[in-house]
Amino acid sequence: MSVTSPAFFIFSALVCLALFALGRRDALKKLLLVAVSLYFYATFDVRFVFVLLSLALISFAAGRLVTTAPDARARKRRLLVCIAVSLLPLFTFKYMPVIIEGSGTNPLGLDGLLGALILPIGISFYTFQAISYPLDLYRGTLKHTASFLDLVCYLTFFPKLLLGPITRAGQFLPQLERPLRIADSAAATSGLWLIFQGLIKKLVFADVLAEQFVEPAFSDPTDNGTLFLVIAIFAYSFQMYFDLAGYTDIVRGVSRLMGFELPINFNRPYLAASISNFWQRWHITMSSFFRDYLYFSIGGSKYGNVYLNLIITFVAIGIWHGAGWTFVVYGLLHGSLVGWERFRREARKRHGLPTEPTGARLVLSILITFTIVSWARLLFRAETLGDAGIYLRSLGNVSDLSVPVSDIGVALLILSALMHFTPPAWAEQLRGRIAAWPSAFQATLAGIGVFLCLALPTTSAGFIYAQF
Amino acid sequence: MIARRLFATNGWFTLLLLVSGLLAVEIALHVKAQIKNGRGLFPTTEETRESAKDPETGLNIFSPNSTIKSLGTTIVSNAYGLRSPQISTKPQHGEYRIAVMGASTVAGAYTPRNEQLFSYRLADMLKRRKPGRRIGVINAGIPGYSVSSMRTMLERRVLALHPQLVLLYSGFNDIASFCQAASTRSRRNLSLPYIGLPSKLLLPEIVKKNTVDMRISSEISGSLPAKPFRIPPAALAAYRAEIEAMARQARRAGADFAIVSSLTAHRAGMPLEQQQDLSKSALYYYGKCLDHQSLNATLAAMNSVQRSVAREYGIPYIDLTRSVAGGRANFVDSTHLTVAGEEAVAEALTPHVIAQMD
Repeated sequence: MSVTSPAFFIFSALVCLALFALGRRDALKKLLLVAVSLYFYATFDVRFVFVLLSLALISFAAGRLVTTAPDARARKRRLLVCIAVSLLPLFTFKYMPVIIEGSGTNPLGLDGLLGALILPIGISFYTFQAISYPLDLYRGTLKHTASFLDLVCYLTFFPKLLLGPITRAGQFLPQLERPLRIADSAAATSGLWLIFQGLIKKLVFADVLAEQFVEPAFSDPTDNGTLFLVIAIFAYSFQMYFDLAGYTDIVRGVSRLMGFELPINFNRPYLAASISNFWQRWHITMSSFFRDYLYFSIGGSKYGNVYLNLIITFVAIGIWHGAGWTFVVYGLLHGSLVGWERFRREARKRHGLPTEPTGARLVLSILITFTIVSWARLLFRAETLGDAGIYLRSLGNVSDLSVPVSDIGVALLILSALMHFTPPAWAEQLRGRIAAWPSAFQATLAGIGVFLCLALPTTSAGFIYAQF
Repeated sequence: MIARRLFATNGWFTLLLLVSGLLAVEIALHVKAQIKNGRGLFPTTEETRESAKDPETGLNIFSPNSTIKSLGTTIVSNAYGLRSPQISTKPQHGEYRIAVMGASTVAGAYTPRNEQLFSYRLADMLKRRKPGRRIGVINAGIPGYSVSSMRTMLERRVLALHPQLVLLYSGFNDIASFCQAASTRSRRNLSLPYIGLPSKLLLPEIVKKNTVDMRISSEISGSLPAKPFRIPPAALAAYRAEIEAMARQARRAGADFAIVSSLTAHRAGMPLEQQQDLSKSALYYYGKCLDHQSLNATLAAMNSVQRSVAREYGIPYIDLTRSVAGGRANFVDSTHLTVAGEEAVAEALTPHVIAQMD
């Protein structure tokens, strides 16, 4: 059940109705949410449900073990063991098959078994959410353990189950302790607006950019000219943003209708003036998770070698995305750039020079950062380092200046750039104005959006982050 | 109170308005289809259900012995559920019986009356050219058939009616299976079912059909997106295997077999804009995996397979592309014939069939 399918919205609407019908019976509401969330996950594969419930059990046990430890050393030991156990399913499903295939060996005859494993969709996301529970208890962000029902409700909550946002236990569990009420009229308006903009981002922008620029360019780069390949790299950046941001908007909107708030994931990432700033704006829940739980834990900027800590953190980010050398190199690249920026910033500070660019230098920094981020994405899109090399070599085809896209492709690419590089305040103002429109006008605008979502895409591509 | 709500701001009410609006549009479209084509949610007493399952083949056929009004056509079906005259189990004494295998083009998806189909017109033309000779033509075309369905129909139904000549006009429905074979293979998931929207919604279909221009316009860009597509070798081999199987079955049953080239409205040599305009309906169905260029390449590959089978089995390949012109005069859309087109096909086939008879 894709989150862009009518089935998902029918399903969500029925859940909202059921929550409304249950009135003030919060325990029943939580049970309902768990049941529908497990059913939602089972529409992908029933077997995935067992993986999810196993993680819930592990996480619950981890919380108990951490909070009942006799001393600080025991707490830390138990925490580390629980994190390792929680990571086991992720390692087994996602990384072990790749490691064994890459090694060319067949230890214990596992090759056949591992080959039959299907990667549970969303495991990369909900594993981290499961880990955040004992971690937040350990750090004191959560003051007390949650009931098993609350914990399962948190982990299985279906809008965020597949692709996040990676919502920490400390962000979601307190919402379960309040009375559970579906959205009032104002929250429903903003929730619907989020869903509407999410669908436009995914179905109109992401899918059309994928179909017209990215797929043709990457499926056979040697068949295309330099200009098209260069444009496709930037189109891929826009596609990635609209794909995951669109998904995030949809699920945040659906959650808001049900009375829950999920964290934001993006803050105009392509307006970043540095790679460090980019990671504060891109996939915020994921990057902040690694910052808070890995980077700070291994010393951050306070203990050990800060540059090594940065490299370790970013390589981990890379590997989280996929078990391949392209992702390792991606992590190394970003870690090195962030490290370099830190070094430069510190040096400029020591010499009394401004550390942040302004004016024309700011604009230039933004463009340079966007260019670096986009070209580094080649490692994301290419299946192997060799494929990335083929793409780069194909850039030499300067005699072919054709850009084989339709008018819609051109229009959407230009609109993508405009949407990213205009002041954020404009979007806020527009949002505020539309939110104040009467319902009839809002419904008309939404109807136009439905028309565009039906008319413009030819293919319906899956979500990019579903493969992670 | 409703007027007040319309001009208030309430997210839930907005949602209700949106869903109600979409539902109203959908119902209106169904009512319009009912009035225009007689096909909608509420069949009249004069009509019967359009299709049935053939107990012999398990395939869809027209409802047997029925008069079906659909898309401005009146389909009169025989006892076998084919848009054909009633057929005796065995040919009458001296009868030359021809069977035409195919899909919606053969069935005359947009041809108003049975008598205007090229199979009927072929029978008439043959009778004029061979006076005194009994001629029977079985129209075994059913919309939606692939070559696999045609083979099953031939094997289990049509050959039992003892045709002396089988003409295969396979059409292009198999492109759907090529596209499917080329898409990512789905894993073997054990998933629970869920409620979705009914598959026969008119609103998405009508929006998509009427916005092909939006998707393929290249006024500003000057070019169209390339959809690199190669027919998966296994899918093309399967396509070939089905045609070969039909040729062998016909031969075993003592019937001659001939392959007729499948025609399109757009032709090489026409201005590109005209070609794109004429191939719009094909791009509507197959636009997910094909652009105009790859559509032409796929059509060429299919015809090439047919030619190759004809050569290998020593059977005639009847190329109608020179004798039946493309364009709107002969074609309703990319592939379906107008009444004039049916006449043109019948005229083009006549000399070839006479050659087989002699």
